[in-house]
Amino acid sequence: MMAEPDARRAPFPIRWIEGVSRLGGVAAACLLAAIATMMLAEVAARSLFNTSLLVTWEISAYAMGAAAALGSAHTLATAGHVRVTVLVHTLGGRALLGLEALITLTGIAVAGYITYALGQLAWTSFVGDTRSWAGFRIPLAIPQGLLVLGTALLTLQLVARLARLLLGLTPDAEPPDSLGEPASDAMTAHPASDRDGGR
Amino acid sequence: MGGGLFILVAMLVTLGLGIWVSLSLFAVSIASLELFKTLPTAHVLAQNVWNTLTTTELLSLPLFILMAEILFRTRLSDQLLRGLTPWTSLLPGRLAHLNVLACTLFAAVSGSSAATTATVGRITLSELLGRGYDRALIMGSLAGAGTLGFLIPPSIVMIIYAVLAETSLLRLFLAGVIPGLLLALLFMVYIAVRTTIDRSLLPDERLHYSWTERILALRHLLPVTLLMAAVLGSMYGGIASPTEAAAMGVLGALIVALASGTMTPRNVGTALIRAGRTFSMIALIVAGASFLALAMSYLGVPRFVAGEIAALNLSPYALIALLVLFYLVLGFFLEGLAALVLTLPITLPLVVQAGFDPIWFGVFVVITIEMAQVTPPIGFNLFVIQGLTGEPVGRIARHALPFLTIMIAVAFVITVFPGLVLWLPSQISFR
Repeated sequence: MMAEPDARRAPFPIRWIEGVSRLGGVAAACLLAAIATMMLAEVAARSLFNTSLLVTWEISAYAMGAAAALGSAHTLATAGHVRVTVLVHTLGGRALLGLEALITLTGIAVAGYITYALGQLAWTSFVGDTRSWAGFRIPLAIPQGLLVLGTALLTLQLVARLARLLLGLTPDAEPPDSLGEPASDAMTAHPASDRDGGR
Repeated sequence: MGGGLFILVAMLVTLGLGIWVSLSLFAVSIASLELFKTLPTAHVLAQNVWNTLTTTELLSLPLFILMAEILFRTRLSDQLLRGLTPWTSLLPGRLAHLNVLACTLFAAVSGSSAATTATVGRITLSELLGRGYDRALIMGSLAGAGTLGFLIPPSIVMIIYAVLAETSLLRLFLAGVIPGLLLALLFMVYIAVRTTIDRSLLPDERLHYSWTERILALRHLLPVTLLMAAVLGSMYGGIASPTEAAAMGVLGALIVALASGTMTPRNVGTALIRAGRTFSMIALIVAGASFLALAMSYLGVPRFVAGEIAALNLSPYALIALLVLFYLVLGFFLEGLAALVLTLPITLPLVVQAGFDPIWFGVFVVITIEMAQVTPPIGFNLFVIQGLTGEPVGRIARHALPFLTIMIAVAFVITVFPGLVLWLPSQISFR
């Protein structure tokens, strides 16, 4: 069912959410590039000048957390999060719609809870002005806030998925191979399982 | 033991319904803590997620993923084929060994078995099937040898194991080398024996290469050798930590891409976006698994199971046999990574209590995950090969059966001879 392209375009609010999710995906990609660059700088500093930049480790770790969270919504929209699809592939019609709605609703509840929990953590850090242990003494509320942003976006993308289901559209915004290559390439063989897992 | 039973049933239901693995892990952990404990669950969750997603131990994960995505878009696998082909004419079975040889080399620069299978297979499959080699043998050997991506370092699964089990990643990487090479060797012995017994598996072509041609062909293996030196060499030479080695690997992959003329802005952008997606997917699962492990320990599940198993008075070997069976069955239903992160909080304490080394168990469990990659209906290597050939998953799994059997045998061999795993890490002193 996901292989069929949409005959109708999704209405405006859904497209808007998906656009923001895509931005999150781009942000995650940029953060990965930044991590690679910082780690190369660290190798250079240590081998050439025999000194560690230290702060690269700290910022890279925060960038990694942010990348994981900010990229999660786009990953959902492109069917990139793995799941067992045996049941999804067995059902059809209204039963399938009901199942997908139940799955997505559970997703909204869980992602919403994680957003709330991380939000509390970030707020506590902000109020108490908690700072990192090394280097620039970065206020932890900033990287933690990025995690909140990412999981909030994931929750929103799940809501958009539910809206798509109720409107009779394909649940995923883009097929997993929307970037121009077959989904079975490289490590992203994972999305392929989402489509083929139950066959 | 209501908490443990609840977790088991809830996990089966949420995963079975088709809720995303990462969110299932979180859902079950949150529910079990809310139902059976009076803890500030949200606070515990947030702190745990934050710690897991920002631990520097995990930093090599996105970098190795990125490296594989870049390499996938180079001509590296084509070069492997050219470099290895003249040498295979020396072996009984000739080019039938190509998948195993190419996967073994590629595994040393790739951390993923799906990436290894896809990158090697998209070049070798059409070449070998076009020449008339036996379909079953070629697809089976690709499915089997592709799993070496997890066992021969670098390895994404090992990074996750090291984080969850709090062991040294470098030692774990080293520990995988000898079992990985042993597995590759046994695959090749099997291919040699099969093709010697049954000549019809090979095409009727004569391969003639002079030694000059063979030596000259080695130049095609230069890029992969340099990449290996950048990643493995820098780690084992003590120049770089696994994370820094991964960053050097990314740089090396970019240089290879530049040399082969495939480093277009579009390719690099696509590699970054796709790496971001894969990383996000895996990172969320790791975070969920870490939280589930915490929830289980709050509920005393590992202690309870360990007590029950201890009461059975199993010998260590019987315990390992039981675990092989357990992971094999689990591998039919779950993807390898999910099977690992779900069970590790229970199985690791069990095995350590029985007197096994956590590093040794890391290698053992990686081999069991490799098995899960080639068992239907959920096995990623099977999906990759299905994507490349259009062959049904069930039939590919049948082709892979001899190779699966060899993996099971190796799991038992390293149990009887743990030195195969632990000797190499013990040879290196760490700073």
